[in-house]
Amino acid sequence: MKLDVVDLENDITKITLSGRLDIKGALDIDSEFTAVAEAKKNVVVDLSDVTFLASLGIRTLIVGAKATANNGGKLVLMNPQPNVEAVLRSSNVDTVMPIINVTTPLAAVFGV
Amino acid sequence: MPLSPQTSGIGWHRVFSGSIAEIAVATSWIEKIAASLDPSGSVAFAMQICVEELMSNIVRHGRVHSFSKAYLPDADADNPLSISIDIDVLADRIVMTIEDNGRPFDVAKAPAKQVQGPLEHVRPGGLGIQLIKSFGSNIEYRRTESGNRVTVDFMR
Repeated sequence: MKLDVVDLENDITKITLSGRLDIKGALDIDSEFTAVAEAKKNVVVDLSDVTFLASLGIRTLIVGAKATANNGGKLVLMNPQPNVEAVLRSSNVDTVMPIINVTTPLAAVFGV
Repeated sequence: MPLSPQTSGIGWHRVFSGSIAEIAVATSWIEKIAASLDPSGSVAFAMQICVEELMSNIVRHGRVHSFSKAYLPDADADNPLSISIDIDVLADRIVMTIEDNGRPFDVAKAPAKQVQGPLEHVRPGGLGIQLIKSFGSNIEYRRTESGNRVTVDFMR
């Protein structure tokens, strides 16, 4: 599991995840992902290259979303593959973390 | 394991140790088997989800030690945690049977928790049972002499 962080304009941070966000993948990135979320306000997580998502991976995403909310911001999920999106929607994760696609204007998403 | 009269005669069996690393080995094994049975990939994904979540529960909760120690060598050397998986192909479905020698846990009766907002009230974790019940069908549990047996169907 790979994690890359890039600061975008308007104080938005993009975290790009690549690989399988299974129990091992979640353990690999959990500390760094949470640390970034705790330090930022508005975070977009690019899931384009995430091929698998399990409950421990969802846990990592929720912890991050709560951290950004504590900073007065939010965390959104971008461009999940169909199977990964099915996991997110079956757990109702999309009700607390919006799912957007690559064409969605980020400034509008975050109100900045 | 005896095969039912409906079986196509195709089946696989493999035994895994109870460790985090073995979960990835098992899902990779399942992925290869399922890909040969269902080129669309949807059954392969569903089977991997269920194996991941069932094995994750066994590895983290099958013994008395905590999750933080779960990937250390099993403290109970005389009876290490063991997980066997059988895959049987029937005409209309694939049946996956997972047996372990861990503590009793009836996954079929366990509540399927979903995220319920608002976000500040959401407690992270505990979504695995819901994923098993969402991606698998006809989940049945039986307590065995040595542990637990769970069967899950995947419609072809």
